[in-house]
Amino acid sequence: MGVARGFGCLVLLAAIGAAPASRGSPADLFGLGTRTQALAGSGAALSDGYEATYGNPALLSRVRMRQITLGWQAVRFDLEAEGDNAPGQVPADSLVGTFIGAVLPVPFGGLLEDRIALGLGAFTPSDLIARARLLYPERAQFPVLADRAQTLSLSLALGLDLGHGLRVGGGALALAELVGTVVVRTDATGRVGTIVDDQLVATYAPVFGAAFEFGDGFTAGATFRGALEGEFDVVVQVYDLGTLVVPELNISGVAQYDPMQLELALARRMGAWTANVGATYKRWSAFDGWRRATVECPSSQPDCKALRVEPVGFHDTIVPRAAGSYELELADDARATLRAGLFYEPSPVPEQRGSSNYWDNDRVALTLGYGVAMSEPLPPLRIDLAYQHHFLIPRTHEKAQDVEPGNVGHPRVETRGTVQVLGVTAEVSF
Amino acid sequence: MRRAPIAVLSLVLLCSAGAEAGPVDSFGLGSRSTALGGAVSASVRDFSANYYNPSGLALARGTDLSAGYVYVAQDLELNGRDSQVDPVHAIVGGVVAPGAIFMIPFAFGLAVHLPDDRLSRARSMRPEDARWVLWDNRPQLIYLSTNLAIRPVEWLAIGGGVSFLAATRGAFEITGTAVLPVEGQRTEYDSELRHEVDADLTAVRYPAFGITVTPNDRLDFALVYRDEAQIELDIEAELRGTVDATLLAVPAHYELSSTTMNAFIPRQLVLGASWLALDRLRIGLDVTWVNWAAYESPISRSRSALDVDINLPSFELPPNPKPTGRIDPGFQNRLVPRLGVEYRLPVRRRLELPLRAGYVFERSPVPPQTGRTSFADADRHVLSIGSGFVWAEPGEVLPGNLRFDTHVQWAILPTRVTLKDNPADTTGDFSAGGHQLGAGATLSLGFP
Repeated sequence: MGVARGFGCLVLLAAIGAAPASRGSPADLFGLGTRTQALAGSGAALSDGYEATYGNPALLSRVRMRQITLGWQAVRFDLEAEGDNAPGQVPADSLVGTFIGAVLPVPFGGLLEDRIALGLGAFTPSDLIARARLLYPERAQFPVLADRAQTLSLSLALGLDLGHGLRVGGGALALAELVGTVVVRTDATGRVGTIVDDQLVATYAPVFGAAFEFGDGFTAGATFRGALEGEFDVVVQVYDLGTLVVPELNISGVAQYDPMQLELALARRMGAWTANVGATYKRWSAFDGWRRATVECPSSQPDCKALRVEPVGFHDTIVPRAAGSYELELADDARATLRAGLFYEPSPVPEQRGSSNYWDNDRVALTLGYGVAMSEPLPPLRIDLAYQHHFLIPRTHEKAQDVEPGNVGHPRVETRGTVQVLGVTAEVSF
Repeated sequence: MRRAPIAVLSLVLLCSAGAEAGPVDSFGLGSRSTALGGAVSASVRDFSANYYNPSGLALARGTDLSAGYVYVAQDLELNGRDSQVDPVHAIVGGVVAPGAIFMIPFAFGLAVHLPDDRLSRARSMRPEDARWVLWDNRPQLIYLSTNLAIRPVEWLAIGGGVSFLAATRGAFEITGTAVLPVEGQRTEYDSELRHEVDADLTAVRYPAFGITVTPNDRLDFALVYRDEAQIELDIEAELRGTVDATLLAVPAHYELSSTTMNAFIPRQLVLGASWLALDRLRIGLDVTWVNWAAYESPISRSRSALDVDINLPSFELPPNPKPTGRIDPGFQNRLVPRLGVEYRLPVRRRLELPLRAGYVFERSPVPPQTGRTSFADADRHVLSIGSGFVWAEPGEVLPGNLRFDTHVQWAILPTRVTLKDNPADTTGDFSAGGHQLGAGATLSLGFP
C-alpha cells in the first residue's frame, strides 16, 4: 500500500508543482515590431518608436510625440525531418499574437527639454504568456525554433539624447519563472496531506544601447542585451510513506533562454534611401540546456545512480544582417516606405550524434515591408506591414553506433523547413 | 492484472489553491487614492485612475508619472493564534499620457502593482484546516492594467481598458524506476526517474470601463464596471514506471487530472460622486456592488486512477477514489461603501499640504462555516489617513508640479466565531479576527 500510495504522490506532486515559464522570445527570433522585422531584424541603428525598447533604447529619444501602437502577427512553421525513423512533418503550433507599444517623451523643460523618452514594447501570443515544453531529449523536436516563439516579449526602456549626436538608453527585458515547493506527509489519521506553495516570480535582463549620428546621414548603433533565462523549479518533498522513501524530486528545467547578445549596426540615409548593415553576436555557449535532473545526488552520496543530464554543447553564433529602405511621397501629407532585408542565423546546436534529437538548422531569412505614414490634416496614423520568409538550410544528423536503432534520428536524419512571419501594426501619435 | 486504485482523494483535495482577488481591491492603488478610502472614482486623475475609473485619464491636466511603494502587515488570528498570513509589499506606479486626436481629448494610461518578491502565488492548504480564504493568497498577485480614455464633450469622459493575469494549464509525466532503499546497499537517490513537461502559462484578460459626468465645477459623478476574472490551474499528470523492491519490480501506471480555481476577481459595479464642498475641501463617496455570489469553490475537482500489475497479498490497495465535485461555497454579494475627505492646506504660494482621510466598510461575503469547509473571514472596517505635499513649478526642468503622497491604512477585522454543526468535525469550532496595517508613499511628476 505504501508503495502504491507513494507513486500516487510522485505524480500528483509533480503535477501540482510544475508550471511553465517559456522557451525563448519571438523578439529574438524575428525582431520586435513590423519595421524592425522588415529590416532584417536589425534595430541597433534604425529602431523607431516602441521597437527601440528592444532594438536600441537610445533611439527612443528621437521620438517627439506620444505614440501608441497596436498590431498583429502570425507565424507559421513548416518543419520536416526525413529518415528511417523520422516523422517527416514535425508538428509545431502556429503563432498568432499582438503587438503593443507605447512611447512617452517626457516633457521636461530647460536642459532636459526634448531629450528623454520612455517606451514600452510587447508582443504577446493570443492566449499564452509563456510555454514550457520540456520533452524527453530523444523525442523529435525543434526546441530552439518552434516552442521558443510561444512566449510574451516585454521590454521597458528609457532613451536619453546627450546632444552632439550621441544618444544612450537602457531598460529591462522581462519574463516570468516559477519556483515552489510541494510537501507531502501523512497526518495523524494516516491520510496523506499535501501543501503546495508555488510562486510566479519575475526575471529580468538588462538592455543597453548607444547611438551616434556622424553627419552625412550616418548613424552607428550598439545594443547589449543580457541573457534572459526563465526557469521553473519546483521541489517535491515526500515524507512518512512507510516503506517507500522518496528522494527530493526536482520538477525543473529552463523553459526560456535568450542568450546574451551584442548587436552592432551602421546605417546611412541618402535622400530617400536608407541602407543598414550589422551583426549580432549571441553567446549560446553559456546555455546549459533545458533539462535538469529529476533526482539529484546528495553530498553524502555523490555517485548515486540517479539519471544525469547530458550537456547540450551549444556554441556561440554571429548573425549578419543587411537591409535597406526607400521613401516616396504619396501626397503632401502622406509618405510610403518600402523595406527589404536579409539575415543569416547560424544554428547554435551541434550535430545530434547521441540519443538526443534537438534539431535546428541554419536559417536564411528574406524580409520585406511596406509602410504608410500620414500627417495632418490626415489622421496622425502610421501603418506598417512586414513579411519574413525563413529558409531552413537542410542539415543531416548522423547517429553514433551506440544509439538505439529505435531512436527517431537513427541512423541519420535530414531536417529542413520554412518559417513564414506576417505582421501589421497601426500607430497613432498624439 | 488486478486493478489497484489508490487512496489519493485526500491528496487531491489537499492540492486546492485558494481563491483570490486582486491586491488593489483590498489595499488600494496609489497613496492619494488609498488615503481617501478608494472613494475616488469621480475625482481620480492620476495613474490610479487605471483601476478606480479609466475615464479619469482623459480629465488629467497633463502627462503624469508616478512611482511608489506599499507595505501591508497582516496580523490575522485563528483561535487567538497568529495565522502567519504573509505581508504584502509591492512597487506601484504608472503613467497618464493625455493628448488629442482629431481635436478630441484622448489619454493613455498604465498602472502596475508589482509585488517585489513574486508576481503571484498559489498556496494550497488542507480543506479541513481553517484558512483566511480571502487573505492568504488574495493579495499576492501582480496587477497590470492599460487603458484608453476620451472626452468627447466637456462634461463627459469615457474610458476603458484591460487588466492582465495568468493561469496555468499543463501536462506532466514522470517515467523510470523508483527503488526501495536497502540498508547499506542502495538509497532512494539511486532511483532512475526523469520528467517531461508540456505546460502553458495562459493570459487572462478582464476589462474595465468607466464614465465620469461633470455637471458643474463642483460635482463629478462616476460609474465604473470591472469584469470578473477566474484563474484556473488545470493539470493532467501521468506516471509510467516501476517500483524496484530488489526481488520484485512492480509496473505501475498512474493518471491524474485536477482543476483548481486559483484566483477569483469578482465582478464589480461602482457608483461614485465627488463634491468640492469648499474651494479646498473635497468629499468623495463610492458604493461598490461586489458579485461575490459567483465565487467558485477553491477545492480542486479531480480524477485519479492507478493500475498496478501485481497479485501479491502483501500489496493491499484501497478502492479507487471517487472524483471530487464542485462544492458551492455560497458566498453572498455585498455593497461596499467608501468615504473620503481631502483638504488642501496652503503652506506657501506654490506649496500645498493635502490632508486626507477615508473609511471603508466591507461586510464579509463568507457565509457561516458550520459545515465541511472552514473559510475564515470577518467583516472589515478600514480607516485611512494621508498627507504629503504638492509643489507647483519647482523649476525650469519641471514646469508642472512635484507631488509626494503618503498614507497609512488600518483595517480592523472584529473576531467572528464559527460553531460547527457536527461536534465531531475535524476542524471544530474556531474564531477568526485581527487587523491589517498598511503604509505607502508615492512620488509623482506632473507636466502641463
